[in-house]
Amino acid sequence: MTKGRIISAVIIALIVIGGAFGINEFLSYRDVSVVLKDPDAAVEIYTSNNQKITTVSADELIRLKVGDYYYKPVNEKFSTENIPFTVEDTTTIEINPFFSPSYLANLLIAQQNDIRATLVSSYPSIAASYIVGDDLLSHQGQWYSAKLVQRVSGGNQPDIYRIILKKDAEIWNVAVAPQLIISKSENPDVPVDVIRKVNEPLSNEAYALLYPE
Amino acid sequence: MNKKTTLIAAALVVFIAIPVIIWIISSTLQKGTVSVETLVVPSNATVTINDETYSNKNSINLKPGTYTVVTSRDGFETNTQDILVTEGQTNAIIASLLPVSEEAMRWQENNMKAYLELEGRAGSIAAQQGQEFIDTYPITKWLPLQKPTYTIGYRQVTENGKQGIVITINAVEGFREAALQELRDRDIDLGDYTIEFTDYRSPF
Repeated sequence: MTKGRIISAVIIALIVIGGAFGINEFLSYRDVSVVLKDPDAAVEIYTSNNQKITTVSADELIRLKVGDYYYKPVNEKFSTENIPFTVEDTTTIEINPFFSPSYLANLLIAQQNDIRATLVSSYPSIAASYIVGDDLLSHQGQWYSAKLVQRVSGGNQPDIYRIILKKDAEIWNVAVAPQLIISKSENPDVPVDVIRKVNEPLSNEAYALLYPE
Repeated sequence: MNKKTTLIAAALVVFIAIPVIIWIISSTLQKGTVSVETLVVPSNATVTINDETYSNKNSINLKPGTYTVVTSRDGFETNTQDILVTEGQTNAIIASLLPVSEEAMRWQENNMKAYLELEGRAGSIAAQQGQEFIDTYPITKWLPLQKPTYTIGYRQVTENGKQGIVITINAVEGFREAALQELRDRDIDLGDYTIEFTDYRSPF
């Protein structure tokens, strides 16, 4: 075999190997349709080893390699926690991040009257006999949880009740009636993080409301 | 194909294919069932489960759930018990029939070893089931817990053929939260359990 033929064979082999790698690389990408459920929810998409791929600020079709990724909202209206997702095949990713604690706190102030009205109309004794503490909104503001503590005299310790409301079609409804503790299995429609949060002990701030100096 | 080849092929079918077919059919029938060890003295007593009768069986395959088991033999007291068959746990039917007739009493005298062996095996199964229960519900390892102002205990429940526990708290008003805090301090996610408060009525 001449030197020229050897070089030709090596070049052909390299082209074939390169082509195979190219085809493999092309085939490892999948169409991912990114749908923003909230028009404000622009997100940055990262690989699982924290390399930023792109920013998506409107519904968009992108191509991603099969693998693990996460997205992170960029707007401060949303919680900045990383939300993981996996691409195995052509898929649609619905971006619907939770609101940030500060945004939810402002939302709560705006919703306070409606929530109070629901609490009092459902349980009239709340108006005069209970302090509502540790109240907060969760997710996209549709879940409300709070602790109800009976006003007591002297150093008596009252029981602490937990309640959860849900807003459907702009109306607040009782999702879980006041209970000493809320069980996940008995309330499968309520997100576990909302239950876990409301089951926590009464905060010092709420205690301060109960026993003002 | 000569006669010898035909005979070899037939023998292969008889000794390999037929057992394989039987194994496949029996595996299919047993799919979703749990093996329940049967410890019965006298061993030839009749075990009846949901109108199905078994005799001289070391184990019976049953689907997870609750069953009423009746064990009987002429001359002996009939034993009736409810058993819960659970997947991934040790399941057993244990029945030591006491003699009533004179003939049965003589049988017992001559077979005391069988009764003692059953007692020993029943003890080790109970220990194994106890350990499995603690492994499934680690909280039960340190319950009941008694404090001056509250008591925390538990009771076992069966729902939809599955075993579970309900935590029970006995505390006066104002100390129920302290009992809950005791559980939180032990890294218990309170939402994972159903918690019952004794002598308690909701004011709402």
